[in-house]
Amino acid sequence: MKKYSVMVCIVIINIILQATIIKEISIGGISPDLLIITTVSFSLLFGRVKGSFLGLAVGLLRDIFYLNIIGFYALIYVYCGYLTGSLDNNFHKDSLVIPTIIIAICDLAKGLFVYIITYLLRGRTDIGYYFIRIIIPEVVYTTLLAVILYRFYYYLHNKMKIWSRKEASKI
Amino acid sequence: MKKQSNPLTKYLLLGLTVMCLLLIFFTNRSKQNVSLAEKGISSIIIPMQKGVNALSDWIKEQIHFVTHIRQLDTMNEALEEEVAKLRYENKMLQQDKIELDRLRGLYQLDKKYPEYPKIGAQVMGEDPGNWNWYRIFLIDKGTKDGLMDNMIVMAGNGLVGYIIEVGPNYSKVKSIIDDTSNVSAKILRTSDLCNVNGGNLYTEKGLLKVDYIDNDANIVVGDEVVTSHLGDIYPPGIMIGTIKEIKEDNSKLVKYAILEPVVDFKHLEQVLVINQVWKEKQ
Repeated sequence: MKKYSVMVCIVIINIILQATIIKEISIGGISPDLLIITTVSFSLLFGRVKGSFLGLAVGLLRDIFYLNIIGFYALIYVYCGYLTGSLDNNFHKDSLVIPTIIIAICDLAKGLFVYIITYLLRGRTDIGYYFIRIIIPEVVYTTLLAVILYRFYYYLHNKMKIWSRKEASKI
Repeated sequence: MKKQSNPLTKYLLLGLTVMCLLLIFFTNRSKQNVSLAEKGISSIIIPMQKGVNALSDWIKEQIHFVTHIRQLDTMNEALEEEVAKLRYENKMLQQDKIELDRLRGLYQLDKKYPEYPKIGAQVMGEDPGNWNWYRIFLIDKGTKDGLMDNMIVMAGNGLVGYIIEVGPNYSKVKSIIDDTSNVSAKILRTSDLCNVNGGNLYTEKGLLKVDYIDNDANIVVGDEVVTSHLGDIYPPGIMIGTIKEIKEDNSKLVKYAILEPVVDFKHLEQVLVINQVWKEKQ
């Protein structure tokens, strides 16, 4: 139970931080995507079921808050959560390199998807500009932040393991 | 977590995808009213967001105070000098204004801008959501202050954008520099119609693009551009900006221009909302 309340807290904190502090530390109008870091880290650590539900929660909140179309970002984050969660157990969770690379790839895929759906379909064809000016800087910034945040989530994951063991031993 | 052979996980992705697609299908239209769920969530998160914003502002202010304490003295002196100068100038201007009023009364001059009822609002979060792609911001007035969808937002005498969504204590404003924005405009001097577009390519430099200019239109750099009478939601005669550069398409068939808006979109703090809906957007 404690585990789930922690997850709900993390979702809410993420949304608020993204709207406030993260905006303050943006460089050249580009801010990192906290939500994709959280979604991918959780689904790597806790598996694809929890990962996809976390992605759904985070994505829906983002949509409800900021966009006119509800479900667009939810869809992206659900797929990020599910697909990366399927890689579970195939790598050492305490390594930092692989999760960081996976987060970068996810953010890149997200950027391309957003470009194709909301820009290319409206006839904005200069992909080079959007790629260099928006997508790549966001990926770089997000990846840098991911290095720090994944550490934190890994620590949290270990704590949660201890809690669930304690709860199991009580029963 | 071990790989689960639970049949539920098999259909998890499918179920969630269908759910998201249904949501997209049902919400993909311009919203006239904010739904109940949205109101609930925003009434929790908006105050929290305000709190965090206030805290970070306070910290920034303290840091700024400490780092600038030495300059304050010299700055104060310079400012006092300026105040004295400005007081004198102000008096002169007041005299001029009285004269101007008298002359206006005599000639009953047409005003350049028609008057619309306005209320002031504070910009709360700049571009909070779709952070890297769009230029949408929040202001701190909502339905409680009588705001509605499609009301026009200005700053000073220049056009900022319009309200796309209203909550009880906040509204979302889409600015004219947003990539999807499109304003029907005209060149004030020649009355030629044109179209003012935002675009990420230009927004970065704080500029706008003017499209669909008539080939015979005799425009020059420095011409003023205002909203036209053909606009969907914008009332006519509101200043947008001045023309900075006139360009030709590669094929030399189409003319377009670069427009410098009168509003400083980078440092937007106070805005005015025109308190009446001009036309319902279809």
